[in-house]
Amino acid sequence: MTHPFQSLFLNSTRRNLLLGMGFSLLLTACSSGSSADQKLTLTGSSTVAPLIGEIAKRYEAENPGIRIDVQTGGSSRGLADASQGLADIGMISRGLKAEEEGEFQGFVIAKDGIGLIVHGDNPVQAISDQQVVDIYKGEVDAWQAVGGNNAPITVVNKAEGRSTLELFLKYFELENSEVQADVVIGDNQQGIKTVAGNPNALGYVSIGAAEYDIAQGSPIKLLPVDKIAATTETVQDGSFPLSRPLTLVVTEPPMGLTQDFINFAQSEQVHDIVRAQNFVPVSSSLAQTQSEATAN
Amino acid sequence: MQTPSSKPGLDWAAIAIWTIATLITATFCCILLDILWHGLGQLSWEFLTTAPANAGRDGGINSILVSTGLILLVCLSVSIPLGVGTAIFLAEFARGNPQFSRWVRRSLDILAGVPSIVFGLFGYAFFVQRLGLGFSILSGGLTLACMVLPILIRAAEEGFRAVPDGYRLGAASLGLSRWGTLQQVLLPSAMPGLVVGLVLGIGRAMAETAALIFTSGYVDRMPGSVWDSGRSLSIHIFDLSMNVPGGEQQAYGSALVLILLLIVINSFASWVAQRYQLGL
Amino acid sequence: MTALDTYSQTEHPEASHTQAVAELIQADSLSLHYGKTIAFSEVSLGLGAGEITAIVGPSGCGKSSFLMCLNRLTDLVPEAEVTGRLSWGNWDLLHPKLDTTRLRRRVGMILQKPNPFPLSIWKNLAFPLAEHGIKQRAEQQQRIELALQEVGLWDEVKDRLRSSALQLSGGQQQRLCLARALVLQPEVLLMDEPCSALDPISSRRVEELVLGMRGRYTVAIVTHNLAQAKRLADQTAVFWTETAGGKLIELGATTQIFEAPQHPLTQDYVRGLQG
Ligand SMILES: Nc1ncnc2c1ncn2[C@@H]1O[C@H](COP(=O)(O)OP(=O)(O)OP(=O)(O)O)[C@@H](O)[C@H]1O
Ligand SMILES: [Mg+2]
Repeated sequence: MTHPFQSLFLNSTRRNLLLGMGFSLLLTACSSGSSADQKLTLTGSSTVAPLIGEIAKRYEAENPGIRIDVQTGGSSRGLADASQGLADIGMISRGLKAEEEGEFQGFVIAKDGIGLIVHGDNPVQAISDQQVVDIYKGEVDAWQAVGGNNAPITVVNKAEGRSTLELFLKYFELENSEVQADVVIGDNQQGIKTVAGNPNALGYVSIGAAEYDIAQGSPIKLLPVDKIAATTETVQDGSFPLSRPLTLVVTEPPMGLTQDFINFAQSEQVHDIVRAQNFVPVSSSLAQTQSEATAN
Repeated sequence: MQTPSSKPGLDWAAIAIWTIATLITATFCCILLDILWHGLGQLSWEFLTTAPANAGRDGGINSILVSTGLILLVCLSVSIPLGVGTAIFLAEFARGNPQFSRWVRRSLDILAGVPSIVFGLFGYAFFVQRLGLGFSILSGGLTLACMVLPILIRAAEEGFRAVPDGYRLGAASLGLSRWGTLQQVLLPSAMPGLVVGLVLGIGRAMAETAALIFTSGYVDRMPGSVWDSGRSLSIHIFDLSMNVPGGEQQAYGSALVLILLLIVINSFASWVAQRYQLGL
Repeated sequence: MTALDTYSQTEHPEASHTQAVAELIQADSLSLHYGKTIAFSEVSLGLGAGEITAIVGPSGCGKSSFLMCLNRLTDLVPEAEVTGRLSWGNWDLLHPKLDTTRLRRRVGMILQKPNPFPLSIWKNLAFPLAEHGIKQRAEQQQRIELALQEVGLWDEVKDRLRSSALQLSGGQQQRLCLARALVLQPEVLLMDEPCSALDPISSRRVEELVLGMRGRYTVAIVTHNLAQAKRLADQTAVFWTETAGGKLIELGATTQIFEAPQHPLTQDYVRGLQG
């Protein structure tokens, strides 16, 4: 007699197949507990995650038996998970704020510059910080006013919760509630696509991402900020004002595997990866001083 | 008298319906063509069988496919028995208590409309943290099961309700057992509803990102077991198109694979159901 | 009959089996209500063993409901409540612990609308057999062939037993349902308007079948076709809707009901529908 529940759904061959699959699933499920290897979990910024993911792969390759799991969910998740011990290391796409420095210790692994972008056909070559503020507040709404075409400005803003938004607002001393956005975007790619498709748009994205897409022929251009050209070089040498450090955060002084991985992520061995992800490497010594600076 | 005056009205309705239908189909075809156009070049045996590299810009999607399959397997092996069981209970056994069924049904309808991010946060709080399953395929699959269950139950229940009462009366008047009737008569007749539920559920599960990013996670390594974190196709596509500059081509390739996979799974489901329905 | 008596009868239904065949099914002051709706009340009626009883009356007077009491199909309707007495020999059919599976195997039923299962023709008959413990292929084969022959369907379907029963015509489907009831070899057959969905030729076939059952089965047939009742039945029961649900207004030999009706309503009914 077959049990009614089993024969309810499947005839015998199909049933056996599924049971077999379920059984092997159970087996693999049980077998995993035995892997006594060391494991590191990182969570946080979706901007940092692809970079750390690649660094982790190289680290795993060089250190067999070690597993590094990278999760995302945003910078605030990174801080929360590191604080709760759900993650060994948090990832944030900004520096630590003053009030966070008591709880966390930060390690800069790369830098990301945020550049203002407009469509390639836009004749405007530069806009002052004050003009950016006026445009984002909605007080200036036509390109004429800043020396451009007779056309309305499409203001592109980032969605709430993005660290790019925070950095942008902080630099220009804006409140998000003051911003009169026409389009709200989530990520760099979406921002680039929006501006590339709209000759009258003004937005802001990672310089690395913008440079890459410009090289790929995307019809956008980067505007200087405070008269400093938006390039990876100016971000690297620290002269570009609108940039952010990509930071690993921990709650306790790093030791063992955690420390080793952070050192690795800051070392020259991963600079090629950092560049490949369109970010700007910081030299080991520079990272050191910066983390010291934040600690002080 | 009424016929001539109602005729043009009918025609307008028909035109409106046809226009809407054509628009919807055209939009769908545009999206499909776009994905085909951009994704077809990516598609190769290589793409399906190699590991992702350089944040997904290079390499293939083999680990992503395995993770997706495992997540779906966990999801379905929990949600199908539970969902069909609940639907059977609601449609066949809870008839004497319409108030209770109505209450359950209303709750399910509300649940079915809850945004997936809410399920994601629930899964994160419950499976990942509370039950200590961590970021794992198991957490992701179980979260998806919670999300898919209301859809599955409602569709399956509709399937059972659509079964003519004559079958139930006929079976009872032959003195057939409830289980026998269920297996041999009701289940095959309710199969169309079950398949609709399954197809909708799989579709929702495969397209899901918000509920998975917090549960099954982002790790694109080949999973060793369901306890490992694994990145689903949908999250891979989302990440490639949103967070990885230059990941667009691979995103299209992955999207094409996702669509093909959905088509294959859905036709397989209907095929199995059809065979079952014919009593073969 | 004491309560203890009844209970022991249900415990050992086989013991009562042989006696029951010769007995009639007797309803005494039987009433049924669905919640507040009274389907019929105070019906006292006996089905003679081996006889054909026709139940006639206007729509909604409780004929189907009455039939459903006889095989306890009312158990399926949550709010249905049956009162009064219903017995088969000394078997109390209203006993709460009655083995309904056994009862329904002995009391077959055919519904107004043909309802073959969405299975193959063969499986429609083999599945009930298997459910009742007849799983041997040879015996199934023999019983199925016999039942199909009895309803005159064998020659029409013997070459396509594996194809879906839903592909049969309405008349064939109804005869298949009849065969499905007969294959379990019941003693009583309840037929609820079996011909209402059928063309005249199929109707005639079913009628012939019913006539052929006289003496072998106890048959109760609900029909709106008075001529059919007249042709088939040994006795006829006339139901009528009164203020508090349906009532049995007249019961008698078919010839008496049609030729010398007593109740004024029956007189009108018989005359009106015949005229
Ligand atoms: N499941 C049910 N729930 C509630 N009321 C019911 C149910 N079934 C039947 N009734 C009611 O019981 C009464 C008798 O119904 P029944 O079906 O027995 O009539 P009938 O004599 O068979 O009529 P017809 O000739 O139209 O088939 C009707 O008033 C009907 O509305
Ligand atoms: Mg009726």
